[in-house]
Amino acid sequence: MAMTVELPLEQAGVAATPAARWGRYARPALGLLLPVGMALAWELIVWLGYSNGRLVPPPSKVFATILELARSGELSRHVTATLSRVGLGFGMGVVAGTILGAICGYWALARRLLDPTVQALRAIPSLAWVPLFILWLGIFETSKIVLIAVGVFFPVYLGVMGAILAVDRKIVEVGRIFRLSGFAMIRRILLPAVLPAYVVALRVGLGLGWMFVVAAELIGASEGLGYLLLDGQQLGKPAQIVAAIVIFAILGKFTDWLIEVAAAPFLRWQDAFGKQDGGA
Amino acid sequence: MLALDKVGKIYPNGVHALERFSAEINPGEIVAIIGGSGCGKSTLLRAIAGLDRASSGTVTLDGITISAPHAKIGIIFQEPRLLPWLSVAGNVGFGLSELSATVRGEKVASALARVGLADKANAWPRELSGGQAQRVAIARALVAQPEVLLLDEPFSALDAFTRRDLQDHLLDLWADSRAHFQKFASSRGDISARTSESHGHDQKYETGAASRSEVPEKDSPRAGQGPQIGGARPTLVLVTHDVDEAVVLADRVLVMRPRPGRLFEEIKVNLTRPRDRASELFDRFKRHVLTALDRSLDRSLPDRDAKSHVGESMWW
Repeated sequence: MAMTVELPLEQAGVAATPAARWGRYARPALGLLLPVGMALAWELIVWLGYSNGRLVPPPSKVFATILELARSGELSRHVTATLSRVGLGFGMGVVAGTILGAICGYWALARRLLDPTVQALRAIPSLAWVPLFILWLGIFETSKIVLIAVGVFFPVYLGVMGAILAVDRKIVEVGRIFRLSGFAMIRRILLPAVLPAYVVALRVGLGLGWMFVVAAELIGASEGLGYLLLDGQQLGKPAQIVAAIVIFAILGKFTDWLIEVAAAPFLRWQDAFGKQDGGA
Repeated sequence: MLALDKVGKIYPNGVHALERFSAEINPGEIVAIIGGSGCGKSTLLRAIAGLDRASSGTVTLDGITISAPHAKIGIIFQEPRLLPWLSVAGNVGFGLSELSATVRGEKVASALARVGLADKANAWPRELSGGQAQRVAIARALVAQPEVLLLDEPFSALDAFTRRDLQDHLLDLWADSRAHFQKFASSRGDISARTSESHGHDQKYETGAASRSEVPEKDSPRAGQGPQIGGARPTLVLVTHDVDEAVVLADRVLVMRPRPGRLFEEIKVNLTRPRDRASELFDRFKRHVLTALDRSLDRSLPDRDAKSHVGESMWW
């Protein structure tokens, strides 16, 4: 079905402007067709009694669970716990990754000295650190936050270093011609040149941060969305698990969107380029 | 005066790019450096710009040794090299950060007006055509009022029409100097007075001015109009592989020969401006430069003392 809809749409998008404008909104909506359709279908199947929906709860039940959690105040407690862990871990990882990445990108000696070690550490699956962190830092907040920070650190470090190394020598020469000092060169040439890649690195880092918060909360927590997952498993409440997953998805998307929006004013010159390209 | 004294460059990888290149370039003069690939033209220009240090010899501007980028020396590259995150106006004003915003704004506006892009001040560089972007690069270089403007194959990436247009435009901008300039430009005797007045220098320039006086100057109609970017005319040093471009623009053409890059022949172009690309004389200069280029690549020919003044022997 999707094929028959999409094919003429693409052709129309090339041919006429009104059709193209319609296509701009219709095309993303097309992506919703499958998940929404399946959700509705499942809802219907459970409602008609073909399945009891015990292991795979229908959307209405998931929604009810979320509402119930919200009403009892549980939801905000768990969300706050998780968000503060991600926030702290992300912050620490970003600061460390940015500083070290910048040093290694800017200064070849530091890169030769530090980068091999960092790359070796990166090769370790981050979850392998968990037992050690728990021994070192205890089972409470610190070990969780450090684990998240480790997850965030590597993509940010790599992104910053790679971006600095990739800055066009020709653009740097423009700065040299205008006799920019070291600091002015960083502020007026390197920083803006690196920013697009940095934003991407932050978003990748944030994604990993959300991944690691789940791991950290599954290991041992008395609150947090990860705890809700585990609790749902142990008490046999699949609706609660799905509810937690949905909230993870919403929060992950929302925080990612925050970065995007915060960076947008600085990337206007580039953003429009992306739009131009994406239209084709 | 821009003086190059036995400038040589050997890159760390052992490539001998430039050998004992000497030349003296007078204030306000337009010199084209032409030669086959690998003859060290760009190396030479980068040494003058202070971007790369010469391995031997010196570059001096008014007696000051150039070893790093200098405020009085501007450069326009083959690519516009605009900063994509700054608007057109931001790019033009990039080198004026120490000025107050008001002064900077005025200078930027007048520079943009002079390159005919006043309406593009708020555009992003990506929205410009190749020719427009290079105009912005020209404005960015000129707004800093350099005494010497280096051009590294500045129009080679453009199509033939745009290239021609920008060549003429560059000449207009160059000719468009202070009004008191033109008063003296026509008569030979006053040229030395003019240079010493505008540059505050003496003897050294008179020789330079005298050699220039062979070229009776006719300023372009645009000269003297509009806001001024430069005070005195900047010296232009142009690297090109385009014979046409060299003859259209330059007072002198320096032909280089490769491996290692060195000066082969110097040709004076004693043609009045504006130059008619279709004229027979223009063609004769072009052919002369072409012949010199051919000979420069002929390895059987020895280096010679590069001071042929064919322009003079051909002169009327």
